Amino acid sequence: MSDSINLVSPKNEQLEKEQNRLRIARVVAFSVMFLVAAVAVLVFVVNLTLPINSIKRSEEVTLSNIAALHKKFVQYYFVQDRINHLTNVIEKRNKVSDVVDAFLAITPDDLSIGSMQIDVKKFSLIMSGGSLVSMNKFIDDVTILSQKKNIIQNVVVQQLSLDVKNNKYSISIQADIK
Amino acid sequence: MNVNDSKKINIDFENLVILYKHYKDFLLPFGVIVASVLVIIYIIFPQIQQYFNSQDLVRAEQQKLDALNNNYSLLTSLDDATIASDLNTLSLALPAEKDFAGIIDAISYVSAKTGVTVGNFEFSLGNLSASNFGGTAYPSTKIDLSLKGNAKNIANFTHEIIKTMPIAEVTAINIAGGTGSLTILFYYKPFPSQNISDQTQIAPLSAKQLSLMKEISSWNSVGQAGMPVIPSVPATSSAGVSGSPF
Repeated sequence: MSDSINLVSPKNEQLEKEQNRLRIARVVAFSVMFLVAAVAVLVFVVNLTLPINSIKRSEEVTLSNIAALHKKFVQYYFVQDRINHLTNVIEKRNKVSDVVDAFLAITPDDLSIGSMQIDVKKFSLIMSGGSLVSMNKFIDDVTILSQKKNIIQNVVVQQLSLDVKNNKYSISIQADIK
Repeated sequence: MNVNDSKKINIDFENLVILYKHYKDFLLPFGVIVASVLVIIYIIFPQIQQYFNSQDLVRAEQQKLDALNNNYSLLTSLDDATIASDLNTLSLALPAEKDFAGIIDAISYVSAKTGVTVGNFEFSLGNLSASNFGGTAYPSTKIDLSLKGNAKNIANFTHEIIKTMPIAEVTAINIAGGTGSLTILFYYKPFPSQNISDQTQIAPLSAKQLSLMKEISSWNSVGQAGMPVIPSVPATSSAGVSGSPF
């Protein structure tokens, strides 16, 4: 027979452990509950405070202001439309007129254009005049034109002839339009 | 000894009652935790998702509002008379439809200005199918002109005609002796749909566009104010393009 007496019942110890567990479970459960409730309310309030309605109201006000200027709006829209299309047309226009302008600019006064044919790709010109010096200057200027300006290329002087009867020089030039 | 027998659990009603009585105090905390998890899954997560969606929506609406405000400030800063005059000029430069009168006026004007006599001419209208009018397609009226004058004057004629309204492109020149022939395309472009929403974004004209506007305003203009076909305002819900060739 044992001499010692166990004053603390093992059943009470077990019960105390269970009550501890229960207390922890309750604390955890209610903490989670309050946390979840707080987060839910917070998210709900944050969603409510997003300024979407005020932005939409401002949009409506601005739209009604613009509606009062609708005629001006449409006219301005068409101005932009015309400018955009004109820009496109001017950019895609060929250089025929530029070629004519460029040749007119370098043609000496004492030379005359006998014939000129230009299409989108080819250029041909016959010039005549009484001065070989002017003719030479014209050829030099055509050479510069083909080298420096982005208008013509592959310039070929096909013929340089003298009409003894009329004492006139004549030059025939062909080029490709860039 | 039968091991399998020892592992058998007897779940009868009495045992369940015993278990219930033993753990009934835990049921409430357990239920609260389960309910909290359900709230997280079914309420908080969707709310968070909605928050992010709303943020995107706010951002989009704010951009829309900014665009509208920009449109409004731009419109209030523009002068009515200037816009009407610019539109008139630009519509003379690029008409919405074939402008035979404008073409004849332009040729007559340039002819008088350069001292070139205009002989016979012939119009051709090219492809008139709808696809040739939309997008970046530019319908044109082609005209073959016979001219009388010296080479320099005919060359001047080509120089002037491309700086005269309506906008033109010289595609071929043939000069021989005292005569010449030109092939010229006069462009036109129908106006876009007139059903224009006030929410359409507009921007101020760029420096390049303003420079072009200035250049076009300096072109020879024979047309009179109010002559070009400018679409009626306010908008209607009519067809996709105006200024039909027919």
